[in-house]
Amino acid sequence: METSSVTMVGTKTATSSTKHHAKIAVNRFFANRLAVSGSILVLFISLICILAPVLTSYNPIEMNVQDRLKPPSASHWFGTDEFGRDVFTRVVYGSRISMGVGFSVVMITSIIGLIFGLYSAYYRRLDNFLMRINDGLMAFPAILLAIAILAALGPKMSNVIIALSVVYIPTVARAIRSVAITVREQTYIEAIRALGGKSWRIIWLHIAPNCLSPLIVQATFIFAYAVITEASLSFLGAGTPPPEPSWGNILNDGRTIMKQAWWMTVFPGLSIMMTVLGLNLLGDGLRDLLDPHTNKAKK
Amino acid sequence: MTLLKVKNLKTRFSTELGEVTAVDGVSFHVNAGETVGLVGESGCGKSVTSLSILRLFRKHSGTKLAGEIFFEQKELLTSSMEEMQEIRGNQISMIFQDPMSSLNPVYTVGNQISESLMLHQKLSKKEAYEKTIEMLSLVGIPSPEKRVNDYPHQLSGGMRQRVMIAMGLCCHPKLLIADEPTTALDVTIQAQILDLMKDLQEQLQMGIMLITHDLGVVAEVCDRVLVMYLGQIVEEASVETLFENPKHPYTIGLMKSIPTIDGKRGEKLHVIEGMVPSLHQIPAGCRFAPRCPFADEKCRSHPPDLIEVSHSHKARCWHHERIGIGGGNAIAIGNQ
Repeated sequence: METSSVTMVGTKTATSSTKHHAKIAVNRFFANRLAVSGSILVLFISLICILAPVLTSYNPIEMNVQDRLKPPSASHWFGTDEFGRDVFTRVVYGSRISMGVGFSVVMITSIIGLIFGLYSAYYRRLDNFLMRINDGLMAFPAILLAIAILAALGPKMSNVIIALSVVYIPTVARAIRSVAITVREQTYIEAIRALGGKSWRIIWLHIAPNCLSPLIVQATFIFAYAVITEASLSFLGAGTPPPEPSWGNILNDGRTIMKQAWWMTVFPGLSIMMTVLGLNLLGDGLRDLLDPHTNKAKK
Repeated sequence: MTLLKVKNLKTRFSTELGEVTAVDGVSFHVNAGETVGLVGESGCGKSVTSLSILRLFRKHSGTKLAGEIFFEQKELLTSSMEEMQEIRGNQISMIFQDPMSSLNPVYTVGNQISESLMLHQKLSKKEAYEKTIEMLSLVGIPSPEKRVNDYPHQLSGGMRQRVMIAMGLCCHPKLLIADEPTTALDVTIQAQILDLMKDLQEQLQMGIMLITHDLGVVAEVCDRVLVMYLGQIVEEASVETLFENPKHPYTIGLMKSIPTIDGKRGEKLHVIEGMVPSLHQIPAGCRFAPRCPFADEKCRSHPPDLIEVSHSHKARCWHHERIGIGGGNAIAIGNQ
């Protein structure tokens, strides 16, 4: 009887205190203007990605020669390109590729970067090995390395994801490693060892959660870089191959006829800018929110 | 019953300046239900001794352990890592000195205590939760069923130290190694924590190895005391003997350094002259000789052994017969 009443009280306070913590977190998030405006932009673009088929009735790759190079109008909001395809439709569907590539790259780099970072922080011998590879990869400019990998693998969306992941994993691994090294030296990690915790438990249950906030911040920035780099690669013809629309290759198509058809470069350009701006704002905001050091300094 | 027996323990670290022996030939034992104090200045090897018992050094840190450590019948230095992980926290647990950084900030205190219960006692989540609340009330935390869901930053230093003790004790260890458990706390809390440890010791019949530099704490709770200097035990005695009849000049120096309440105002406090030498430059003779007021040629050239000066009282000094406290706190020494 008595024990059951104790647990009841316990679980009740547990939920109320979790709710309390969640409420504080939400309030702090909404008080941060950077984070809020960033997330509004990112949400807006994500909605466009999801709702693409609803937003437009045109086909993004079907050509329609009598409609070529029409300026923006009621039927073609962003005008048409040199094959008569609706630029609005192409930009909307292009967002799926840009954001899809960005999101996949973020997921892959976060997971692999976290693993590399944690293990190289924990095992010193592994550290030397992994970090020298890391240094090697980081020595190349991101775009150059991505182009080289794509040249070897061939231009395909999945290959773009692989190339960008390889390019950005070292950045994440570095960031995680530096945090994990500080966490590793904390007394509470030693305390867990003294309590008989095994290495995997220490790494994943005690060091990893303490690295999550820098990882989240890093991930938003990687997302932004990945969107830009994907666009650059497609612009250079090394990324998503035409006729599949991607912001980068729409820009490239419009490049030669920028004087006659400004809409072909302006709209995909604006989309890239908005996405990257949104992600960067969100990243800055999250960094202020999650990092206790900058948090106080800014206020 | 002897719970822990350490024989000729040597802990060596390799540093950039060469290898140093942080713990040099330390031998002692701890009985069940007994409290043994380990006293000495910072850097004398107290903490390293306790870390060596649990072998809490990183694999590739270049730390070398030699000697023998028996826990009950088991040799700890030759045990596998898996066996050690089974012993740590379950049979021997450790309380760290800094309550501010000894709890993981991302978990509630309840989570951290129940983790060890689920790990070693294989309790279910619910059982562990109930047991955690029980442990928290045992260490005297008010409204434990609420506090169990608090994060470390929501607790005061004293409360965190209690949580640490609850964590250390929740699996009913046979031996508790407490590394300066009360240094970071204010005096009233200190007394409460020490009382608590004593109470729990009686209930659970555990051995306690108390590492401290506070002789007041030693006098309060210890049965036996080991005084360490520069990696060696310089004196070992029961607590009464040590305070009444210390036989090593270092112990005497430590005791004289305690400010007394009836001392004259403005009077200078006693200090032990000189600095602790670096482990890289260990004196050839007695390690304490450079700072010892009684040192002579023999002390500077020949290292003394730890010898039995009377029943269960050992000291590492050539002149132990001439040294002692006589009449209050003045040092009497034969023909000096």
